[in-house]
Amino acid sequence: MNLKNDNLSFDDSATQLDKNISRLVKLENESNKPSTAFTRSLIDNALYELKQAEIHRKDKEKSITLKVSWWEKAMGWAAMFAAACGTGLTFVVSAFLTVNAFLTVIATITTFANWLTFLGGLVL
Amino acid sequence: MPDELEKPSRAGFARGEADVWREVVSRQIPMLFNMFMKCWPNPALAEELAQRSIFDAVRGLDSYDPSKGSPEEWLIGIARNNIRLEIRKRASRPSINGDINRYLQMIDTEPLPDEVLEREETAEIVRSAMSKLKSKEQAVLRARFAENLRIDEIAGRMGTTEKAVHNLLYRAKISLRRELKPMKSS
Repeated sequence: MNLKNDNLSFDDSATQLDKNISRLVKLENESNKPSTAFTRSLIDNALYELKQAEIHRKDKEKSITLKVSWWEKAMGWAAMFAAACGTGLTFVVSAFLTVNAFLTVIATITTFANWLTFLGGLVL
Repeated sequence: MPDELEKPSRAGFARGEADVWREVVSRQIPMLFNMFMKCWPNPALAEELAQRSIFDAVRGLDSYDPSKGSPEEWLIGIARNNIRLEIRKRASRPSINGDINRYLQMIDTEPLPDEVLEREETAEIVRSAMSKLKSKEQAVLRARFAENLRIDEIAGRMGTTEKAVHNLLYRAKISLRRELKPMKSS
């Protein structure tokens, strides 16, 4: 198989030759019936496409069932708002408690310092 | 009574049931092919249009209403629409030059126009070129391109290996092309 002598290559031109020869050879067939291989392949491909379309349709239906009514949406938003408020409140209270602990320490230190100042005054 | 039997299958077709589809489509493909061949005597185009019509039906199944008619009528309607589209496409295309051989010289690089394939003269040229090939080469070309058989199926039929079929097919294509070339001067 000398490709150069045959003036052929393995690129698109070979594919084009295949396509054209396929179309020309089909002209020989004088009957008005498609080949059984063509019919079989077309049926299989059509059924495959049909199955894919069915899967796609079912997926679409599934996504539709996820859609909820307005009151369910409202309840969802309310629950989310309540959870957010609860989280916020926890942070605020814990912050207050932290501040409270600081205030206790500061008050103790201040009292201790005041006592030291008072006693220092008495000594001096 | 036949109508009562037909109704469930219509509903099954509309629901896309594989068994019903297989039955209807296998019955309709030869009819559609014949219908296209009557318009344009070009088997390759008839196959292409039959395929397009079946896939249009699959994609447009939602638009099929069983109360309006049978699946067969619906499929024929789709095929008629494809014929109309093909006529419109051809109307906007420049007509081919009278010399068919000019197109046959370019089969390596250019797609053959449908109008060339639809001329009786082209079929005669191909028949004459094919008759000059070896019988094995003719057989492999017919099996591969006219019957659309796979390489392994051809190998099974000819009692040889797939590699041998590939080689034979290659040689057959080159031989056919060579036989088509001298037609230029005729």
